[in-house]
Amino acid sequence: MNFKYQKEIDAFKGFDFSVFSANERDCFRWVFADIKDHRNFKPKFLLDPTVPRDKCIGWALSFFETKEKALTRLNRLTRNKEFLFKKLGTHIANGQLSKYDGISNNADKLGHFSLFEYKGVDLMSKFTVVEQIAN
Amino acid sequence: MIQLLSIQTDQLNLPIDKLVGTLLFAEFATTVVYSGKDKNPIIKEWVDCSEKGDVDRYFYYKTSKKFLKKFIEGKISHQDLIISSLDGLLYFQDVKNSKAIKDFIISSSQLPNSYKPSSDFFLQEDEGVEIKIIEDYFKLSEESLDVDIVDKIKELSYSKKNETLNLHLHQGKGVGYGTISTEILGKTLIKFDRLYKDVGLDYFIGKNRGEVSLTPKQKDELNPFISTEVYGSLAASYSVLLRPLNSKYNLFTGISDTELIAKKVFELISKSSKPESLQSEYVQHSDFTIKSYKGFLKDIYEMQLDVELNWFSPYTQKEFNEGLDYRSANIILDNIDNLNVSAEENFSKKGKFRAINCDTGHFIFVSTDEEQFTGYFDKQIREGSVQITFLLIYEIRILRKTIKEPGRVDAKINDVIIGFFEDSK
Repeated sequence: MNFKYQKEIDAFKGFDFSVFSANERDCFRWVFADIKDHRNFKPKFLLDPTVPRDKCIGWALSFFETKEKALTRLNRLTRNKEFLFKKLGTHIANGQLSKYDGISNNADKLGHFSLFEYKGVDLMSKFTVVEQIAN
Repeated sequence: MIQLLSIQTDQLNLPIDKLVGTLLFAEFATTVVYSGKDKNPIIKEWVDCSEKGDVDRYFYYKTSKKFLKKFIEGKISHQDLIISSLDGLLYFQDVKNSKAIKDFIISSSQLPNSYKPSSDFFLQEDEGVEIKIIEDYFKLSEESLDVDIVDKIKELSYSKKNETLNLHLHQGKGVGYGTISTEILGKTLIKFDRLYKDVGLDYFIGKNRGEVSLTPKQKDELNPFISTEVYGSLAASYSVLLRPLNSKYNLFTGISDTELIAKKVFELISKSSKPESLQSEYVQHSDFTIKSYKGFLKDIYEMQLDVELNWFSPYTQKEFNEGLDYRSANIILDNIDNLNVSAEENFSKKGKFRAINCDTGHFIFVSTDEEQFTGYFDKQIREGSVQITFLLIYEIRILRKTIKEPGRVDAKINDVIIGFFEDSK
């Protein structure tokens, strides 16, 4: 299956996809209050167009295994950049990824993992806002 | 976004050479490291965006490999890394659709709190994104963090944004590692302060000044520039960090008055160790300064101290370093006592006569700036002194002879009035 950003990903010939696989998994993501907000499911290269697009992983989406880990991590990040809520989201949304949504890697120590979305997937319809974390 | 008081520029004005790697964070690259043309790190921080998220605000700053290594190793906080910007500046840029729409500069000390990382934000293990790439590019493994005292002073000067004068007492009665007798520290600081103030008064009023007792107005004006304050100490054996209470910068040279005062203090110490250089240095200072210097040296001798003095400016990157111990203090005291100097100078002062002895020609004159001069009228004009009125303002021309004879403790200053004129419009 093709990825949503296939053309961009094709530029990284040597990227190791072997640690990524299609899975069913419950997960959490930082979003804005309205789940249909256009910023909610954008990879970081699109969230910040000035970031040099030199790593394939920048075309993936960030998720967390649990709500607590998503909350802990965002709190940590906003202790460094107070206004990062404005960029990454003010709420936490929960959803169930299916193996047809894309391929993801194992979560790291912080509970974070990345997902390369398949073309045509609409994650907005699969996620629900579960908690507000900032105004 | 926050409105910042800043200097607007038409471009970023930073010598960026190439991108090195992302420092923070995996989820969103808020802190990215670039290399400058001088191969030193330049860091870019995302700090804010518009409510819609379409305008992003970043700032860049120059840092050193050492500061970067310290941050990566968790030895300094992210806030310290930013505030220690090498040139004291943060180069802001607002960006929309990948295009810069506004460039401006602020002082790193003016960064709003909401743009600062929390003061206890240190890099945690596994939190950095491309640490290895950054470390390899800047060869950070070769950077030693075993800082000596001079490097530590420089580092503190950058982070505090002030000139630093370090009085490091290595050895002596009552000097230990991280401790010092209050009496020894107090005496040394007072004697050094006296020397610094006298050099400062020479700088601002002139070495031909009389005995100065500052008026309240003069005190308000001059004291901040000739006084220092203690802002820290280091346990090494015992180091006291001083900084000027205030500094004035010359817009054209970029050099502060306090740098010039410090330079004179260090030149006096450096040049007084050899009789031949002392001869020329001696006449560059007032006798009041020399007296203060001797007082400082006597204390070093009596308390058998070993003192290192360092000065550094984070603005001009100038540094002065000198050392004195009780043996060198004794030699300098001997050098001063055995000095044979005779110097003549001419200068004018305006003020009023306070006392005149018409028979001997002795006078006491107080200048408009409250300096007191005593001496004699030149024989050729002595007779005219009977016409002087104490209520009128006079301009007097003084011939000052400074005679320092071997064996005499202090220099002899002979002030002779060689001309006087009533001040009239």
